[in-house]
Amino acid sequence: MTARMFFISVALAWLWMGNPVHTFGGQRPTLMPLEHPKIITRYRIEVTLDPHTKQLKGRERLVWLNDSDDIVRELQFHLYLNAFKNVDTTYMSEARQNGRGFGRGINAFDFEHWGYIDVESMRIADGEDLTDRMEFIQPDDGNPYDQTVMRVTLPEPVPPHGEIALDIAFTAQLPRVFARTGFHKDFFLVAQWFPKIGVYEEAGERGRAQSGWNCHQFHANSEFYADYGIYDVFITVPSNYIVGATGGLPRQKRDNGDGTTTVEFYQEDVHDFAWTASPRFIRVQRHFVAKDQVSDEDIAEMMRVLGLPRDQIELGDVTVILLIQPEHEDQIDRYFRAIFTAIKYFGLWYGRYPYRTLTVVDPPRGARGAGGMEYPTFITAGTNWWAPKRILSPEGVTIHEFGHQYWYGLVANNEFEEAWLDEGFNSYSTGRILEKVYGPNHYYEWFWGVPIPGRRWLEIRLPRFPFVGWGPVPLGSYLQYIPFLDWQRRWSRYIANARLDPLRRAAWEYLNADSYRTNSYDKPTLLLRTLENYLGEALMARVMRTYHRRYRFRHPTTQDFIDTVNDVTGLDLDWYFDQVLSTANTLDYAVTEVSSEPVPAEQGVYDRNGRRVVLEPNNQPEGERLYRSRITVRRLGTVAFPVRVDILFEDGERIREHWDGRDRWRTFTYTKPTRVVSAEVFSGTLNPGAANYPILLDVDFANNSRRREPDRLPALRWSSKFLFWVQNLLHQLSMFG
Amino acid sequence: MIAGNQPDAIRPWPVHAVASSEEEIAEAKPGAPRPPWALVKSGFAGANTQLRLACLLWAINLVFALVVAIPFFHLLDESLSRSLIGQRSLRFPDANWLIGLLNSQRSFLDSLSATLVWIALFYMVLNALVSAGVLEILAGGSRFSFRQFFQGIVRHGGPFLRLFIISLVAYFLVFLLFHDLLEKGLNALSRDWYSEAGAFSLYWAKNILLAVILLGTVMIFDYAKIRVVLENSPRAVLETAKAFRFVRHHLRPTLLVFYGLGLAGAILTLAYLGLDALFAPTSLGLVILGFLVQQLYMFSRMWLRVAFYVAEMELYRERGH
Repeated sequence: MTARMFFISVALAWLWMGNPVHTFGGQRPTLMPLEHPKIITRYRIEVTLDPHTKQLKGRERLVWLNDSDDIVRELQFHLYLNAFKNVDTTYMSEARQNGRGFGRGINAFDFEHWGYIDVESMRIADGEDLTDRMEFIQPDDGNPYDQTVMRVTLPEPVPPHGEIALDIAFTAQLPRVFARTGFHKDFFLVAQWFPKIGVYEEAGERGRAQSGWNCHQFHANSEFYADYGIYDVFITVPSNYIVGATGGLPRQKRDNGDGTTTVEFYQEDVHDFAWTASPRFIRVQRHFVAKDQVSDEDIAEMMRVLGLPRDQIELGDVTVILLIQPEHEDQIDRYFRAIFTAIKYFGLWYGRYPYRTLTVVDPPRGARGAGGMEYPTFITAGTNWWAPKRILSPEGVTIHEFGHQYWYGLVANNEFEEAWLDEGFNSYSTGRILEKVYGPNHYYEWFWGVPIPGRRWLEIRLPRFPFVGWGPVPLGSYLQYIPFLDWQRRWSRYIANARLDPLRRAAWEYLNADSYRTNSYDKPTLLLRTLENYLGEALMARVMRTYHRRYRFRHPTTQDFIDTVNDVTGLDLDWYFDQVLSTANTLDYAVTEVSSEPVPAEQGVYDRNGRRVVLEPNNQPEGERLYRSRITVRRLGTVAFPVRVDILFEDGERIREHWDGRDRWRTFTYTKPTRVVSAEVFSGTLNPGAANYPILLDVDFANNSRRREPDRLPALRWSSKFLFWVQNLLHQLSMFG
Repeated sequence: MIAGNQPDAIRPWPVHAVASSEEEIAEAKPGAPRPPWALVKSGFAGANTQLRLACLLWAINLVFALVVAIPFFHLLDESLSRSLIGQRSLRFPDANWLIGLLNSQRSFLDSLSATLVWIALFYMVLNALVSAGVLEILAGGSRFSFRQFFQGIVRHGGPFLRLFIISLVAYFLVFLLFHDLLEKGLNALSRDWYSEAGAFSLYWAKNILLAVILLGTVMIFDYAKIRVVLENSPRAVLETAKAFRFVRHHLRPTLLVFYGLGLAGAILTLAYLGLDALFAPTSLGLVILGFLVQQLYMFSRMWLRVAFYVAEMELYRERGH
């Protein structure tokens, strides 16, 4: 073997083993499950919080591995806090348009407390000063006011598979909590707070055409993307502050003797680090003990469904730290039940939670913008002091944010570019847990701080002038408990925004915040549930488990998921994903005709047994009366999907028909002694014996069924209620007349 | 000077028309004001003698409501009658149906709410005129007749419409001061509070204050209307001012009568809600029964409204000098 051939062989072997996510000639090698990620970044940060100025003073040692075959001549960093520097940053500009951004949009921002980060110095460890080489760039929109991405040109490039160590000094001014990060009085939620290196991707990685940095600006609707690493962070705060952070249990704690304490947190195999501090937290620590929380039956069931051995199903113990507001103390058990439920089911379904700790933060009033966020081993939830048990809050948000440990933390897709892969998968998973463990949620209206069961259905849209900022005025609410499942909540947003954008696009490219939410959370939930109903629960469970196992500690793409589905099911389901991911088309099947007419008597000239017979209507032999029943199902939407049609006859007989759903309509005809009563469309399924489920992506459920004879009772019942409501409203108003 | 400005021009109170018993007639001596509870009772008795008036108010209310409810019935009929989702929505609304309806019929519902606003406005204007007829009949102490009813409208319709406009301005100001501006102030005050319960208490104190002042304003305009009729005065602004002065001078009895009758209304509503919770209208018979109970309740509210006018008018007659 020549030296050249030897070198080529070694290089090919390395490519095959070391870069398993790469594709070669369109074939995807089977990915080996990873126990740990490839460590690309190692951060050691010392930070001091000044609670008076709300500033952080930090020093950071970053070691970055160039895990590519490229020579890297520049580095790019996220400086997320600069999103809150002025009203012209990309984040704030987008937040101003169409209500983008968090909560109430930009109106919730405190314009007296801006946030920003100054990188005071950067130098190669024990080497050259790079401070003068730093410059802001705007790779997404060219907005010159945006300083959320910084580029540093290196005097010496980083060679392939080489490392570079940098020493960075920075000062961060925290904004008052608006979106995710900041302060509120003496509460601090410190996230996206340090100079954080972007992701260097080689050509071919995640479908890239050319190698380069993936380091997007901070957008109002986008989240994050980073390489896995090790974080060793020393946080100095006033001694009376309670601190929680990624890593959970402090490695060491040191009283500095000047009224401050330094706490060290350490965590491996994660791609971000966030922390919180406040003197007011109640800190509650409990342990998720797997053998107490997960029964043998649970494990046996999952072994059966997933076809995996016991050791791959069993879960590990987790220490859970809850930092809760004193006013929410009565909800501690609700929080822990939700957390334990999440650890159990996410673990059973997708694989055990690999970290030893989880920290859950309950933000105070005035800092709700910091709630409902996910960071590795550290999540923020949120609740109200008056939270009836029928409202699944804090349960819903807690389970959802924990779920991000799996969909974002462990399967680390690029949230900037394919938000549905974490938000959508997580919403799908959260909904299944909520339905399985908690049952239905209930609609509530908040009436001046009081939760009242009900659902607003009528409101007045006032003219902008002179009612600027008033919004719609509630006029009518149905003030009773209406149970709904999590997917129904998502469906309500989906049908309102289904046609705005196709799902596959970058987070900031959607028309508005509603479209972002619909396409990142709601539609993915529904399309995954639709897929589940089609494949069957067990097959879908294997799909999801396989996808998670393949891409744990990796950065998958949408195509990776589609390939996994096709692999596991042995089907080619591209027809489905093409329709629901790449277009904004909608699905709508309707039963448009259900009729039964008596079969007309034979009349005319018939050739029978070689003889010609003339029949008149009134000389027919007496016999059983027959009816010809017709049921027509139409595809009103553009998206096609297999359907099942359930037809009920007067004698109680049920007939189940299957239709591939591709034509525009299909008529089923029967001649029977009984008439048809009704027909209803359900989702098609691979399993003929499966129960009936609606096609959750259908935008109109009311037309999914039809009766032969109308029944006016429901309309009468609700109209009389409505009449009564109008009478009361008018009478009440007459008091002011 | 017009007659209405002179106290002695107040039209005499026909005691026989409203007193429910011989004892009360005996109690109702001129110059000896009765306690508020007696006035409340007297209001009920007076309303009992004016059932036709309550009937008229109920009928007007029903006709106006039907204008909005009939298109709504057609909407529901189209949406529910042929679909199996209708059967599933009999007991309580099926979430899928409700969500779908709200989405697909958004423009219909928007136009429905706009129609409702206009109808409500028209109803309020009409109600101002109807009140003139009602108070004219009550002031005369006679039984209901359309002739007297319309005479009242013709005689006092102008001032009542002016009172209506003044009252709208007053309600707007009350709302602006005690809701909008006060809330802005409270927002600023509680912005940095950690305590949700503290902020909640603060906002509810504001809400209660707003409700008390709004109801107080309603009461003042009730007395303004009574003054216009009894004093035969066309001067709406002046009568409003005098009504305000009257309420201020007789705060306790006016409030007790007002809230006493309000309490009766609350009991009535609770009774209805109790009945409503007893059965779910899942058959035609039960739907009809439910409708009858609802209309009975609405009639009772009209009857109570007449009772309000009777009791307040009696109070004014007794203490208005």
